[in-house]
Amino acid sequence: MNGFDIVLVIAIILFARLGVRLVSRYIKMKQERKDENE
Amino acid sequence: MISIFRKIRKKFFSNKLSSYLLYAIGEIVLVMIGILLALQVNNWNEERKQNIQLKSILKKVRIDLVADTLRAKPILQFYDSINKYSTKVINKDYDAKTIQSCLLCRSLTTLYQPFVVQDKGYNMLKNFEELETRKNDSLQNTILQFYKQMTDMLDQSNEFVKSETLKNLDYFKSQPWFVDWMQGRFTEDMKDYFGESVDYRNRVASNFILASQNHANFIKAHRDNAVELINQIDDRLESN
Repeated sequence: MNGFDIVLVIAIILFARLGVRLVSRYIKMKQERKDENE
Repeated sequence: MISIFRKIRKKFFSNKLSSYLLYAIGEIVLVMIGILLALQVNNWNEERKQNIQLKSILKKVRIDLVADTLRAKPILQFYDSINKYSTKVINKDYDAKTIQSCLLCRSLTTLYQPFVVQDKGYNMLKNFEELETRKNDSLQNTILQFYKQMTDMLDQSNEFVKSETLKNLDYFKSQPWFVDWMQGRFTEDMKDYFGESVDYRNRVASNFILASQNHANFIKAHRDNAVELINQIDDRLESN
């Protein structure tokens, strides 16, 4: 495993984490909006 | 003016979607920074590894150059001694009567010492340069240029002197006194040939130019440049 492979793994982890955070925040926002409307 | 901006900002942040987009951009920027940092650290690490590799190659080149300078010394001494007798034969210091006193004089055209350049380090450096084109290292270029020029020159010179020596040996082989010459005896024919003949003087003169002058000068140039390079490599290894 060379240096670039390690960078690639870090990038994948960061992007996966980004995806999770964005989706969870979006779901939370939607929920809040729904609560406000009710 | 400032109040207008404040109003816009307030409006923008009050909107849920806008604040979410802002958050998303912030997250993406952070991820980008993280990846760029990882890449930078990787680059530093690669450079460090390359420096270590270059250093070990330079050490190998230095060992080769030291071996070359050590090998050059006895060869140059050999050609110096040959020169002394060649000059005497060319200047007709010997004749048929006195040539017997000079044992080396009858072998002047058949003696030859090749100089083989140690190029293990050079080949390693060449491969290293082909792989790593990241920077223009002046010492690296100097070493590569030096080897490229000197190895070509010395290989050609070796081949040339070798072929001339073999031609001379072939000529001797065709003479009736060849076996006596080989066994170290001196016949009358040999005394005439080595002491008086124009042909032998011409052969000695030719050998003097090719071997003792050109070949030895190439070796001398290689040795002098090698010493200079050793100093440069030492400076580089000490500074790192």
